[in-house]
Amino acid sequence: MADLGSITMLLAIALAVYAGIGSLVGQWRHAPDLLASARYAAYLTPLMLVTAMLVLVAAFVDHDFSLRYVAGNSNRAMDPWLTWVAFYAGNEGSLLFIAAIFSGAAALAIRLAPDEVRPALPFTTAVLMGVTVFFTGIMMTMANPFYELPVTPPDGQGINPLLTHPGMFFHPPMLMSGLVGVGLPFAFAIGHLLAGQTGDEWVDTARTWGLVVWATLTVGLLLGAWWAYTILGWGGYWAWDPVENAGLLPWLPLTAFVHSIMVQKRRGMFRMWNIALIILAWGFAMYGMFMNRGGPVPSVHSFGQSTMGWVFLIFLAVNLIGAFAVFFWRYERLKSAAPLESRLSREAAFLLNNVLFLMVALVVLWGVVYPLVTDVFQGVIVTVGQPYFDIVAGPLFLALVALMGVGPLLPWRRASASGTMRLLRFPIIVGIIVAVIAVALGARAVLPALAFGVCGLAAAGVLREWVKGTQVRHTRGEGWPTAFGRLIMSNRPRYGGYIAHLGIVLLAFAATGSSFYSVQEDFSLAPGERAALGSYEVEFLGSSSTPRPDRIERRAVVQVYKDGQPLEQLQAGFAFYPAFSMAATRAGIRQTPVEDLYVLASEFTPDGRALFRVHINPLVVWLWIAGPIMVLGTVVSLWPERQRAAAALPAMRAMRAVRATG
Amino acid sequence: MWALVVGGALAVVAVVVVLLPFFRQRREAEPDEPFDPSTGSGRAEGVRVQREGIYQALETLRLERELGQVDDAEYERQAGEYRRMAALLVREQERLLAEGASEEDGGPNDQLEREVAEARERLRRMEDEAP
Repeated sequence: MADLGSITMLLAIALAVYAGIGSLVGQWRHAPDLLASARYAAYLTPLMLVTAMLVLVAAFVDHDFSLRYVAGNSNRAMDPWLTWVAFYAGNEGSLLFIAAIFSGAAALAIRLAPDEVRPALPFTTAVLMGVTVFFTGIMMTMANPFYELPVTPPDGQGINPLLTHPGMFFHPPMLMSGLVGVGLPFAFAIGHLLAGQTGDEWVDTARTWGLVVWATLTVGLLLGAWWAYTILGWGGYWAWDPVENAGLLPWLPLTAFVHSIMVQKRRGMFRMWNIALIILAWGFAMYGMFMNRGGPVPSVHSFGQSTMGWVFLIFLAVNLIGAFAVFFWRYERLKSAAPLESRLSREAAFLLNNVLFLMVALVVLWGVVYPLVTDVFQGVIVTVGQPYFDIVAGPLFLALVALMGVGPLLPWRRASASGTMRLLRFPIIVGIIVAVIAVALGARAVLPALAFGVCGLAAAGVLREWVKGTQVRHTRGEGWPTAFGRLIMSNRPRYGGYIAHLGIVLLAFAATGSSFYSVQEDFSLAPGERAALGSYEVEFLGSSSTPRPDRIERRAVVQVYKDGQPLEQLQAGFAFYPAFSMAATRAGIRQTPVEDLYVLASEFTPDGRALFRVHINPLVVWLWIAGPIMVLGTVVSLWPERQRAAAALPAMRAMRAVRATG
Repeated sequence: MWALVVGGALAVVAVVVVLLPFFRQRREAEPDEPFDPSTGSGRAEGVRVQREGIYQALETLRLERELGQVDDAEYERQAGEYRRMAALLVREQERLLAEGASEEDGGPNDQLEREVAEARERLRRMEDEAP
């Protein structure tokens, strides 16, 4: 079994090397057959890596503890449903997953490449294959999942307890796919620069892949937040942990990129910006990989630590230096096709958007590297915590949400001051009303009232666009539902983007509520005793202890009351894994649209008492609702436009005919 | 042993597939035609992309006017510029068509000619729609 895994990995790296070199040589020697051969090799690479993946999964299912990786990440007592999680629980499996998913996406990107990017495709393929070779190579040399132990142990060590959570089925794969997926738009950008195509040919393809990766990364981050909320047992969902930040860092320039690329698509502007943003996003994604695999800053994600961090650091440096070298090589040809005509225009809003996203990224990066800086220069590790990020990054995020409400209302090229005020009147009024309502409901501090108001402004901006657009169509004789549906379909990138914006507004709304108004208190309760927090009361009914083959589960049952009325029973507790000396918390959560009652039982004493921590976290549920809305917006944005695609076809064929005659 | 057999078979299949393009009959106008920036194909593609972009921009501009985001005077100014740019691009496309025709011994390429005709028609419609 292990032999087949090793052979397929060897074949994968050989095919990827051939595909990369063959593409460049085929381009250089004008050899179409070699180019086609290289392309076929790129298609075969993921098949080999997926075969290796299946071999490894089969080894887990068979409890093949002769493989060091299987013995280190599973045991016979492990629930079978965790096999998929165990597969990528360590460096070796996760690298195999990354290599397979990236090579698969690369093959798909090459196969689906539209005609306008084909001239540069050999260079793009070379970049894509370079990344595939790196991940496959590092796996084969430093983290081989098929390494066989000299002596097969009777049982394995088991899976890391923190990974025994349903969120782990999707969070790591989505996050890993999102991080490595940034390499796709990056490859198209660098491939076109290398080919000397410094115009806008790559924009549509890079935007498509950029949006797919953005949605994947967004969902990965939100699933990570959900995992942290339910299993880490501290009552929150985002701790500005170094590895969380490492996932957030590429998301920031990538988000700027998927917006900024629209300006290039529309006006031929921001060419340098877009190249720089995607290089930075890829750099941050590589930095995230480095942090996950032996980065120097401790984190709750330390299960992924290894000694291979320096290799990722070198790869990161090579990528950044190489990419910026190509960028400066083509610098003169990357000038915008049009100047910025007015500071009051859609383009200017996009420019400010880019600047704000980069500022947030720099602030977060500084927070992440600050312990290293103090360690190097002062000999002592000083970490910055949540207050730093809240104070510095919070207002910048708020400015971005406000811009999200204003930017889409501004016309392209230029706007008059009076016209702009007229357009913004409704969102500003709604924002003020929301802020006043927030104050009336108890938001006494300035910042949360302002934040709620800004959320109202941004939502009103989107709603205004929908309502006005629907009205315009309705006046042409369309029924209201038809008018609304056709409005969305008439410009999917634009209106899909607005749906995603609503998701971001919900996210900001939830983050504001839970950041400013969460309360918590600790209680030690004997069975039958009650404790009160806010309008809630919890009554400790009793506890149980259930021994399992690999863990001991402790559960407390509490009855929840609100305003004296019984609501429901919650179970809170933890599972202790002796092999890891580690406990995985399971919070009891009562979720409503207004607030979560979050109950943790952290300790059980011999006299039957239990130590509880109870939180009231307002508006958290909207975080989880925001995710699907953002994905829906992305899907609408990416949905192909049939008429336009059909219209483009003759042109594509014509270009091919020109090529054949040339 | 079976692993070696399966692995060997996969290796053979991979070699055969990778070598296939060197032995099959090559069709004309393969997408793998190497890119030569000195030919007209790259420029023609660029023109087409720019032209599509202008049509989309004009559609959005129309919607923005209807939504009250752009007043009539500004709409007219911008739409006029877009129309002029589209006209320039159609002329550029015609020039490339003529180049293609001179490079080819036969007549001009039918597909490309249709493409340019479609662009002309679209431009004419844009001008007709102008208030």
